[in-house]
Amino acid sequence: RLGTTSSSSSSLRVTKRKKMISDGSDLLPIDLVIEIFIRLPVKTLARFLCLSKIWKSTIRSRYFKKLYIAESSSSSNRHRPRSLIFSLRRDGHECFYFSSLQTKNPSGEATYHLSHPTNKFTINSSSIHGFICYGTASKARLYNTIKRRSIALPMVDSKKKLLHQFLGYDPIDGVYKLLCMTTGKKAVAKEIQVLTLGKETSWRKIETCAFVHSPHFPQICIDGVLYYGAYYWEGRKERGVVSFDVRSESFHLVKAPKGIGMKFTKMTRFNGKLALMYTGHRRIELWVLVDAAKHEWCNESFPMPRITGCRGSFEAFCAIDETGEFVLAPREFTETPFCVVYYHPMRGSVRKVDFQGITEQVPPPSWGLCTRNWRTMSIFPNQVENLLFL
Amino acid sequence: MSKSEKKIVLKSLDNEAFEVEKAVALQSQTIWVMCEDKCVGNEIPLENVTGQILAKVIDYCKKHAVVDGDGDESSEELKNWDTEFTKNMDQSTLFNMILAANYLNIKSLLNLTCQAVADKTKTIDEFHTFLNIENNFTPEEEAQICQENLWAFDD
Repeated sequence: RLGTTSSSSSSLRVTKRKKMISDGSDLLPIDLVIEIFIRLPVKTLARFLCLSKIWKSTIRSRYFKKLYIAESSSSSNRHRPRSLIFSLRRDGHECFYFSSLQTKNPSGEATYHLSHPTNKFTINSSSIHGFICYGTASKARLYNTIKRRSIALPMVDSKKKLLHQFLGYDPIDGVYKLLCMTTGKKAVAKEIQVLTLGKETSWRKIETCAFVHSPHFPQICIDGVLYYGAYYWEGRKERGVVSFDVRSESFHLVKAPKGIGMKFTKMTRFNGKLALMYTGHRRIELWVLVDAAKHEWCNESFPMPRITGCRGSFEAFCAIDETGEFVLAPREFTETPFCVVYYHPMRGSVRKVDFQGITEQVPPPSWGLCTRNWRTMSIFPNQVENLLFL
Repeated sequence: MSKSEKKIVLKSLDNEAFEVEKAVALQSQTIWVMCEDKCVGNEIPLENVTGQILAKVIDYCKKHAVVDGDGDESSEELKNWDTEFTKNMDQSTLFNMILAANYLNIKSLLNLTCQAVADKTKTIDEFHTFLNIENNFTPEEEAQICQENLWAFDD
């Protein structure tokens, strides 16, 4: 019965006539085979480069890669596994990156990826599609959690040591770009440069941003727009959010909400929009961006849950938009195993995931004695697999 | 709306007729457009789908018409139902389901069936058979590609 669908000329047919695959298949039209391929794990796709010449170029095409990311990031996709990437800092000067599947199991398995020393000169970029950007101005690297390998990034041509580097993805063209800024007096952004990954081999200077600002934390990329916390001057120093459109490479300043809103420490995606987040003593406060041009935010507030079997103070690190859950983790921990808590405020559900032996996976400190004081730095949810360097 | 208007008859390629609730059938965008345009009566001929496949598609639509829009628990139940639904289908049935889901334009069923094929077919050989293609690389070229992607082969 296979292969009987091509000849219908019925006017009732809504979908356009399918082009049959050129090298022999009469089983499924090529666009439906592609529908299957965009649901395969990246590792399988990498092996499938050997399928045939036409499939090697299909898998490597920008069209396919764009489709792949769009499908795996789509909120209606419930079948694809997604991961959390989290970073933990030991004794204040060494940062460790792990990833783990976002599962419903009460105990989690974390994979250790890398560590690097931290100080004020090291890059602190948020993760997207399983990439971790780390290092310093002269030695920046991009690590891919899918391949578990890293590549060196081109050196930033600047005498300044202090720089900010943010990674963003433009879903329209399907390209990743790194935004780099060095900072001068009063930590003001200068020498703004962009690097398109996989395309450009050196940094490209772009026109300086129209307003004076000092880039700061946190940061996030949502639907092709990179947002980062910043300070700007309007008579006095004020807190704000700068948005950078990854495709058009243009900047825009949004004033932070007044009052407690200025204290935000995290950014997350909430109902598809940017939200600033601050965890107080008893509540999680959110400010959702309503209108960037009008600097309009909408405040939402949720009570902190009771977390049993854990000491210490918890903080909300991000929200998982698709499930409506917040991901909470201890701000600091010592001997206890690291855990995250998935909290759904509407349903009042609290689900704790313990990670056994996570701190044992990391290499011992090179400086000898350490006090084993750990701090949760960041948690990036919904990591999907990238195929940038396939 | 009278009782008869709530029902609709779907007729398969091999002339098998299925009477279903309109709400069930309208999950298909194709049928939805046909009804909207009033270009058909109460009986809709589906020239690309056999009775055997159409029966399965209707099962799927019935299940999803009842449960969609409810809370998380039922969405979890629905997910399990979906898994069971495709679990024992052979490849030829799955391909025909993909073709039917595409023709009838039922996005969630297309997602489900494509994902099922992606989950079931694992090796290069399986894909060679299913795409009916031959490996047209020379052994040297193939070795070169494998060398470039060694990470994908280390388990």
